[in-house]
Amino acid sequence: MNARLTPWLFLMPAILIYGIFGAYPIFQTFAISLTDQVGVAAPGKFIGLQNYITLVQDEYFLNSLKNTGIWVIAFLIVPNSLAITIALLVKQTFWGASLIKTVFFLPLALSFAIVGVIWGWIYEPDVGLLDQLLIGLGLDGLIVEWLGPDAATYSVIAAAAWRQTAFATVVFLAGLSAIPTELIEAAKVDGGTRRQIFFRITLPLLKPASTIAVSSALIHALLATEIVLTMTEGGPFGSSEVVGYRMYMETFWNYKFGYGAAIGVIVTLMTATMVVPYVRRMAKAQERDWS
Amino acid sequence: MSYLKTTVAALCLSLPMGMGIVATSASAEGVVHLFHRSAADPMRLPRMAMWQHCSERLDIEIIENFSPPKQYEVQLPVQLSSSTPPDIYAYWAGGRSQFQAATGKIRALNDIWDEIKDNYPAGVQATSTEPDGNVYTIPTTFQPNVFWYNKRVFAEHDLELPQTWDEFTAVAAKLKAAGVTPFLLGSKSGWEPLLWFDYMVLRVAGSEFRNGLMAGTESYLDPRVIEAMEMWKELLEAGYFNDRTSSLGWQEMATKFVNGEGAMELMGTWTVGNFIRAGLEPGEDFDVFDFPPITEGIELAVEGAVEGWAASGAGENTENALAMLKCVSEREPQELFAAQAQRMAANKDVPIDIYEPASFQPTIERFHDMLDAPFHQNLELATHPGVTEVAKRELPRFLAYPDQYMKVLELLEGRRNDVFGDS
Repeated sequence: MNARLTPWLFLMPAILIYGIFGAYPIFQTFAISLTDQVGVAAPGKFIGLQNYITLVQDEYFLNSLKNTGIWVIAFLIVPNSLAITIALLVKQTFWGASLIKTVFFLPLALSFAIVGVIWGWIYEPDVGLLDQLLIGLGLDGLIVEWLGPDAATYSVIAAAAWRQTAFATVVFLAGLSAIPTELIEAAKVDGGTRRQIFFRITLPLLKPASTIAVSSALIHALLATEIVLTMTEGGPFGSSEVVGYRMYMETFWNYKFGYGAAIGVIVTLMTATMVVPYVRRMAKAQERDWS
Repeated sequence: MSYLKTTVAALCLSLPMGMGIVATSASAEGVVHLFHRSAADPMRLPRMAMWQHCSERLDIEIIENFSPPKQYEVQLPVQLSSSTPPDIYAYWAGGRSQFQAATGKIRALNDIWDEIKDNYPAGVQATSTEPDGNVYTIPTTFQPNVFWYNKRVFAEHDLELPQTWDEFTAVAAKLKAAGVTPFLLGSKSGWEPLLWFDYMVLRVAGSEFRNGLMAGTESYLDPRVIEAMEMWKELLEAGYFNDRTSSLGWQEMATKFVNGEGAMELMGTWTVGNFIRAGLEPGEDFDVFDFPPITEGIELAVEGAVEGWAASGAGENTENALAMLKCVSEREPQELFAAQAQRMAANKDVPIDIYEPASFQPTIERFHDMLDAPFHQNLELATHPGVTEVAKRELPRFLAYPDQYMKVLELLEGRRNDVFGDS
């Protein structure tokens, strides 16, 4: 009896904390999403799934969903590919490697909101760093309205990817350090080319690291709000709006707490649907590799 | 023994958390919790000087909390939903407050308003009374939106101030022909084009219609709104506005104005600091004029912003809050604020000579005169936030694609029906 209770007693604080700050808000949000609650003063009337039905016909929400899709695809590919490349480069020992590492890791110390402010200056028309750089290189023809309707989503993603790349680089670098050098040396002795070594040894052994990097990229892409708020406020004309920002607008700007909660539930489901199966699959793969 | 140890350990770990849940904060008597939106000291300190004056006079302690404007928008509803909401918070008069009232977190101040309303000019008094008949905010500053024009550019091209719509478009045509952008307009923050929309509607359809539009009883598809948009569209299609509007905010507009890249801009009084800091002399290098009349017989109403303070009425310090709000309506505290912030006080007795430089004072005098005309809070603050969201999103689209003006109006009308119901 005691032996069975003891682990639960130790787990109790964590379970309580998770229950109060994790599980309870999720259930509470779902409950609110089934109401027409306006503001925070009083609970709304139960309206069943009406908020969800309205959402699938809401042009603004569907636009934000499409942009979030772009974020997910771009965030999975760009920061992670760059991070593996950078990690492989900076893992080499050469003069100035520490300095290069510091430069690449620096964005990690900044919040997405600060990153948004910095990149807002970089994208400034005419006087911004990017325009000035292109003018200096004689590439004026490449200048576009970086935060204009056609490019805003991609410009904001690029800014966010800068920080995400730093995070993923740290993760992949740690992953690379954990690969036994004997394995690589053995492969070289056996005549393995660089390409073969990378795809058959390095990459498979980076699975634990990639689980963290990919999950983080997915979560940040699905929840991206603060950088959008800082850089474009979803504009111009809603062209850079994402679901997190839409949830903020409906909840805090339009006072539609029930409707905003419905978006929150959809974001939670999307995150769970994408992240949980991936993590489970990677965990199983690791178990297979180690058995 | 080991069971006892583990039990004690688990309890010790759980206890602080449990204590945290039951802990509540208490506020002492003679206190008000004040929450306001200030990005930095240049605005925060003048606001607090105003409140400190009343604090000392009434012997009420202020517990201050503030956030930059964007964060304030997010944090305010959260704070108002807590068990300890701020007693006083910064808000706007003129339409939007009544929708905040629907959430139950803003107290009608009609009881104290009767005692203090004579501190304000008629225009501010009218704007402070919401369409539902209640007063929710005590005004401390007002900022009319007017046409600023670069006098050097006007002199260089031998232009007179336009008094009519035809003269207005003729000035624009002449500037355009000379290679100068007549009107500077950006939409980076979304709200900048709302000022033009407001004035076009006010000049085409008048105050009564505009009040109805903000209250949700008039339609965005009304022929008068369509006419206003078509006239604005003609100006856009004639190339009288700068390009890349969506990358331009009000500060970039001011820079272009100072550099002489554009001749005129429709903006609030807050932009004047940019001109003066850049070395432009009020009256010499720049000045203001009213948005010209369009439809004959329509009075020249003024559009702008009246900022003030609301009471949540939810805490135990409500009486203190009401006393403090009555106090800040008076001349002395508002003069302290206006002199330090160089923002125009809403109190009618604050003297003009506190504004710097002295050459700007005649312009301030003109702003005060404007308050004899009907004063309208700008669209962002005058109607349901759901409608302003669409306006801030779709009017910038109209600047880029003027031919889509009917789609913009249809979206506005759709949202109006959504939040006010079909009428």
